[in-house]
Amino acid sequence: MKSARRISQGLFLILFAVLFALSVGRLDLSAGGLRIVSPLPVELFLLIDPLLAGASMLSSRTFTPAHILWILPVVLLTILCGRAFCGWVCPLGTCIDAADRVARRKADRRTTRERSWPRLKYYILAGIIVTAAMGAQVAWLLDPQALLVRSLTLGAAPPAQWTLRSIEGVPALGQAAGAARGLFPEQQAAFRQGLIAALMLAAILAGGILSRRFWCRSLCPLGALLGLIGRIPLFRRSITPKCNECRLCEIDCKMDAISGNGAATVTEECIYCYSCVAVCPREGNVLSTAKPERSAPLNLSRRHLLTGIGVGAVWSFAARTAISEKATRDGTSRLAGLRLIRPPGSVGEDEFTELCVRCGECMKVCPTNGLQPALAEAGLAGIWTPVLAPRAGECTQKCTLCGDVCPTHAIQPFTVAEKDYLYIGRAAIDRSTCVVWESGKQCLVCDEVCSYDAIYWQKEGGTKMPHVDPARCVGCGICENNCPVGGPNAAIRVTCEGEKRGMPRDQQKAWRAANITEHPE
Amino acid sequence: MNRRRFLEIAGVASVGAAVAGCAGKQSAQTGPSAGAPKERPAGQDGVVYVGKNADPAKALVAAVAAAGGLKSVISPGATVALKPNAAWARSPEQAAATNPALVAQMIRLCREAGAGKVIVFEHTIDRPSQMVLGITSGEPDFQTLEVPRGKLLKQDTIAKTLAKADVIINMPKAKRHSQTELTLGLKNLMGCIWNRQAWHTGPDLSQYIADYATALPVSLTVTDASRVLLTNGPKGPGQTKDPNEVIVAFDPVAADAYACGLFDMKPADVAHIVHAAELGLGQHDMSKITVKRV
Repeated sequence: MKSARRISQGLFLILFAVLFALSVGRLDLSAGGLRIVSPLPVELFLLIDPLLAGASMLSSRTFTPAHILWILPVVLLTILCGRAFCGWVCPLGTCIDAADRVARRKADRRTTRERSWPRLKYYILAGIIVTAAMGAQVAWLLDPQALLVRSLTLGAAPPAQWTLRSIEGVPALGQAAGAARGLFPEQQAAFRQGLIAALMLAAILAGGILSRRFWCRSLCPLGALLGLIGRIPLFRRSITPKCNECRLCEIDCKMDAISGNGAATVTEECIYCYSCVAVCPREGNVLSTAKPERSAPLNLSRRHLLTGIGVGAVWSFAARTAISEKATRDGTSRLAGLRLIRPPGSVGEDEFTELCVRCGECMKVCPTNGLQPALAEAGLAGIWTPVLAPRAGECTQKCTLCGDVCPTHAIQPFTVAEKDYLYIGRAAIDRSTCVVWESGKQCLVCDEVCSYDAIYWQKEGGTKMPHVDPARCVGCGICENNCPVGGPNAAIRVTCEGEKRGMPRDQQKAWRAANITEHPE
Repeated sequence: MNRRRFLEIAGVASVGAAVAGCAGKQSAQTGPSAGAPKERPAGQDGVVYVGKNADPAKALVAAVAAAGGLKSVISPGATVALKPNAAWARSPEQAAATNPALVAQMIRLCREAGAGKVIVFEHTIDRPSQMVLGITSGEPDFQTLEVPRGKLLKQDTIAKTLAKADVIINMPKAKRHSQTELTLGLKNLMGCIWNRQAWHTGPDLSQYIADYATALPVSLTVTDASRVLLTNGPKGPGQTKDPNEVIVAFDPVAADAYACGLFDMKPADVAHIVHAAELGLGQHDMSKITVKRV
């Protein structure tokens, strides 16, 4: 069974890697734009995660039946077999198993003193639940599925793409590297704060220095949740009369889930890895539906639990101090940072930070690399949520990918046709730097690149000058991206001014129809 | 072999591979060419062949046949680069890009004329570029191009793909352009350079367009005027009309000069056509241009 578990881990890791690699837009002429080609949803591992689904639904006070269906298999598995998900499925757990082999020499992998704080993860979970109950959401920070996808997207995929490109000229290797191009977007991706995301994953993988499966034992809030759901599993470890209390299994257990000279099992820690069965010289360990000899109590400290709850409460208080939360009646933010430009299809700002789990899927699939993790634009509540940075990349017209992959529908699915009236912001020309307004040069770049025909020309003093049409401009940022002026500061810039995402789509459509006029040619 | 030994070998191998990779890059820059480029056939200055047919592919075949076929520009085995106007992700109905059916027919004609390799190149503006023509050129490298005959432009860039090709066939779309009045063959060559933005911030876009054309050896211009964009150019959407014409000419200025008529304009109205004629690139005086219709 131990090898069956390893095969399962390997297969799920491969599935995760394949889905991650398939998270890239491919041309589909019949769909009239970009589409993700994958037999399963590329965001599968995020969809089946009960912590993400629960926290996003609780914090946003919404109930999404689809979420329940997706998490049902994991919940059922957990009721039957406790944290088997952690030992058999979780791609981060598998990566940690591999990293532990590097961190700890084989000879003394088990015998070196291990340090872990198994109760800490429950305090973290308590903080997350309290935060969600108070209407903020912080599950994104430490949820293993969101963290893994985010770290790989922001911190690992861009350097991998860069490296592959740089070895394309190498004979033999070059051909393989060229073939791997299809796994990445056409543009070389780069993300601000990518290093921080990568370091977070690196720190987790380095946890093996402290103990095997350090993350899973001490920190993982999903592990804590599954441990609680599966605390009295139907199927569990027990010992047979053949056990002579040799303690080999207790020493070998990487989760430190065995106590009492092998007799007792800490069910909420057991990940069903079957190492105890494999290591036992006398067939003294079995996994069956038998009732265990003894059951260890959870033993949480009231002081620490209250601390966890307190930290969660403080976080949700602090998150609500952000000025971006000051929403106007149409659901947009009056006091938001001007560059708080959300992707099309995004829900209103309050709900957005509650639903968004910062998994980075939208940034992974964005073909222009325009979606970037927010730092300050959306305040504390919106750290690492996606914002459009037009100078990095525009929201290209024939693309709907971010709405297609968002696991919690913070970005709701939308069509190419709907992008005509899903206003995410508006461009404004800076007449002090625009080369037409300022020095009368022949430039039309903003006009020619515009996919929505939103730039028009009006004669002022005999010369045609560019203007932005607010009914046609949806804020896609292609003008800012291509503007020949300046380095970081273009002469035409998009702000969230004019965004209408809090408005129902039919009302946005009606607003466009009511305000659109013919351009003076 | 132990792990330490393996790592040593891998280290040496990767250094070797890196060195080999650099060498590979260098040789790629100065690659040999197959079929030598040809001079503009004699007697073709100021001559324009116009095929008229509702099917642009048929119009093209007729016009090319009238022009004496492609053998006069394509040597056997030559690498031919086609440069359509495919900057925008627009459908053929919107008339903002060269009709893909025309490009497909041109590829067939080049093959029939003995071309070794036919490349379709465009430096697209809408992204990703695969959305535009269903092709992707990746991120081509560009190299310096001297412009000795230029008035304002003395040096610019050219895509290496085009620099390496033996024959360049320009396949513009005929459209209105809000800055340069029209965009035809000469303007289409702006898609061969890396930094288009620099031309817009420069002193005179029209002169740049004409200057650049003096340095780029375009063997043939094939203008897609099956449907033309009358307003809101270059990207549209705007009003269109269907002249159902494909214009073939060895003289790049004459091709553009003729196309002005489709928009009820004169070549003298389009500054870069006038500049190109002044630089001796071809004939822009309609009274001196011979139009052969088929």
